[in-house]
Amino acid sequence: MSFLTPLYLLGGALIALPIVLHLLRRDVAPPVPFTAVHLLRKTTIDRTRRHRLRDLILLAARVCAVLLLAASFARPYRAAAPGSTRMTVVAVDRSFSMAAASRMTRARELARQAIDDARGDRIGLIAFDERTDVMSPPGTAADARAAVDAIEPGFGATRYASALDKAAELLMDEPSGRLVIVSDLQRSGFDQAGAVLPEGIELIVRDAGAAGGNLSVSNAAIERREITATIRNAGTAARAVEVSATADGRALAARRVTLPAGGVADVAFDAGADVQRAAVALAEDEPDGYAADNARYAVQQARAVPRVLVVTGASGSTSGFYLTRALTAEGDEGPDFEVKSVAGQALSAMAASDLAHESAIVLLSTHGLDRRAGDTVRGFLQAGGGLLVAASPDVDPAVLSTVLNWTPPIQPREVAHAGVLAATDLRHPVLRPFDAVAANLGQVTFDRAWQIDARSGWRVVAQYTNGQAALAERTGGPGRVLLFTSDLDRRWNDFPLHASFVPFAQETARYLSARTPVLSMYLVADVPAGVAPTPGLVESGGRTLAVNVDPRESRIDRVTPSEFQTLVTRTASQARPRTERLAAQAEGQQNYWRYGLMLMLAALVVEAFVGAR
Amino acid sequence: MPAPTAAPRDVRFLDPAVIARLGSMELKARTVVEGFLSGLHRSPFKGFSVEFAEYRQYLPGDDLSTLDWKVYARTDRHYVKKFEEETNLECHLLLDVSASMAYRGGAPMTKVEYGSVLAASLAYLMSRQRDATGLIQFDDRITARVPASARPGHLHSLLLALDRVVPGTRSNVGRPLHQLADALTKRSLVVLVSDLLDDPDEVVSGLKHLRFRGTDVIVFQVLDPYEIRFPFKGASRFTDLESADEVTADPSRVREAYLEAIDGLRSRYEKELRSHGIDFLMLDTSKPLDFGLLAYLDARARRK
Repeated sequence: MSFLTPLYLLGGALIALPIVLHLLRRDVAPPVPFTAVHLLRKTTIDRTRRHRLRDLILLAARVCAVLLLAASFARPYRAAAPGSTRMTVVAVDRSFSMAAASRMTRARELARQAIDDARGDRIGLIAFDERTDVMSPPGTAADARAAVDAIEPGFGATRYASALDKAAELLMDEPSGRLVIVSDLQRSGFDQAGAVLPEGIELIVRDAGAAGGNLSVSNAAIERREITATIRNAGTAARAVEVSATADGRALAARRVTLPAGGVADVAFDAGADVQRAAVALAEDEPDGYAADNARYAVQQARAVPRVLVVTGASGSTSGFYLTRALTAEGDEGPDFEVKSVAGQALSAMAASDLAHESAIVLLSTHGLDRRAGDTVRGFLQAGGGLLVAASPDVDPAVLSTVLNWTPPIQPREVAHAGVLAATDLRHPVLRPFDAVAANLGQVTFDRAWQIDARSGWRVVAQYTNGQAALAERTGGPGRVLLFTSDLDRRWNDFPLHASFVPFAQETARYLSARTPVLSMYLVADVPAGVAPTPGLVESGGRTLAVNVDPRESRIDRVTPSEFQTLVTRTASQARPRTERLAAQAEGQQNYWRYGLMLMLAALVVEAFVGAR
Repeated sequence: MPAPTAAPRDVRFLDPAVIARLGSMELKARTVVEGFLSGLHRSPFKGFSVEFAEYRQYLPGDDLSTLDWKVYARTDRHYVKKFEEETNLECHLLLDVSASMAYRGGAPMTKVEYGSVLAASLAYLMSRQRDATGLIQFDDRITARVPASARPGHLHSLLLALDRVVPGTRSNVGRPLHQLADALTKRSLVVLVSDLLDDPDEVVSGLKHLRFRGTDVIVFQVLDPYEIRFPFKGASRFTDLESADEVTADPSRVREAYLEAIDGLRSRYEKELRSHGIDFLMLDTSKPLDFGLLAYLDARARRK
């Protein structure tokens, strides 16, 4: 039995209190001269014996209560048996390089051998590439052996940091632990920083074998009608290999290329027309090369055009006309924004998922907005979307505050002759492009605007010359929210007629649309949710995605086991905190202190019962 | 003996607290007796005490034999000394001076002091009656003895002896009683003053021996109020004054049993002694002495 906070045991010294009182109680009986003592003796002898027993029971109960209280506060626990505290984690590489020849078979043998060597320990089995999965949680050797066969090579790349992190996590609460790495020891596994392991963990490295050479397609790209592939020869001898390609499912004429040892060559295919999807493959590989990197896939990267949803008062309304024209102005590569106008009622009928492809919302009216619209917009903002609210006669501040859950609600006052616009914060992304020509904003006359209290919850970006906020950004909430305190439909000002309106609208929309760009080409490790981590061309969300293996895994340069040890950074030993955590964990699971307190209460009940007699 | 009762009177001079502060035993005895008699004159017990108190003018019809000629010779007036009489009563005062009699709990005097004053008062009273009075002090044996005598200076000797009482050791009431019974040769009255915290069989045996010899016996059991009520609180180690035995007890837990025991002892004495014609009275040392004196007079009257 051990104690988590043994200092409290010193409180057990308080048992001296009842013992001393017990002894004093005997001595405090003062001598009283008397005459008829023989009459007392006759009547009290039996009672005295009983009282002596009662006093002893009381003393025992009090001493027990004090000891149990001290022991409970010391938080006792039973430490696990010393033999069972050691744990061994066996980590098996499952990157696609392990699929070569009989490398995985060899790796399984090494894993079983490591398990047998650690018999008597608690053994955990993990499999790793960029991700690490626990194949068998810490337990018996039999469980771990049974899980070894379930490990199959995938399409991931070796990342030792991933395995070391997981092993350190599993061994975190172990006073002593051991990690056995079974891998083909590719050097590329250390490309990702963070290969660290706490000092207390013993690291053992097992080599599952090496590849003599490997041919791979390390890149494939589409440039309108041309497909370009990069072929790499990782071997030590020159190789000639046939390269084939398909364009939108159409096979192109194969090309043969000769690669020097360790050399790289680009191969171009002319598809005769614009290509959207392409696949490039090698006809052969080295005998122990990696099959997964013999093909590569590409799609034509579409230019990402942010979509802006403009919410107007009612269908058929001309509201948003100037803004839509400004956002859809043609550039060199077409319009920079795709704009869609909907009425407030339509927004209320939308779910948050309907806005998944929208980058920004411009709210020009609150007509038709209800609580559901509020939930939708707030969900949109939570997902990182942007919102521009422009004041106008169609925007009810109370509805706006309620729908967007603004606290405190804005209570604007319409003021006339607000003056002209003056940039307050030129560092703000909306105004930064204006830079030297920001004075052009001063040519706009604002006849009417909202006067808001921007002191709490807002950051003023631009002001009117009367000192009131013209453009303010909401602070503290999710997403990006801008409030323009005047109209964008030329009712309260002539802003849409000025040259500065288009860049203002576009920069505002661009700032609000700053979402992660949509990608079409992924590595296996980075595929979005719902897409299988398998190389190939995949249809997802109405788009074609190209999923490829990590080309770094195609390299065959390796590290030796001893070099591996040196490349792993050892962090300061966590032995003592680990022990303490283990103790705290054991104590927390056992909760002996509760039993101690219950027994103490029982002792006090006995004391009260006996004392009252 | 029925419990004598006195009419309301000034008991100031019978209060042990007052008596204890007085100087000599003679003064104490005189104070007690005079105080007692002054009250008695107004009491229904007048018949017991007229021997000492009254001279009155002769009235026609009075017995001429009761006329006091000496007074007539001095004053030329006729006075009747109506109840004065000569006596041949021999009275022995037995005072227990064992160590237990030195106990004083909640009373102004120890039991032996109380008993001494009682004995002195009785001696004073007897002296006025011209009875021959003697004193025997004892613990487990007779420690001092003043022979009975009716001489005028004898009272002083008795009071002096009572003034010098020194508590002795263990008590053995039966033994001196037997010794006295063997020594008595004529009709007499024995007054025993003791706490009687002794073997009741021995005590009763000795008293029965006296009674067998034709002796009238009055027994005063003198007890301290603490012995009667046992008012102790808190765990105490009770140490016997005579045997040094110790008993540690919680008074609240043993009080009931003790009171039963002490009351049983008193009841036993009362029952057994009365069955043999022996007067028995328990006296509380915190209470006035008049009960003791009344008991004596009651016994004295019954002897006539």
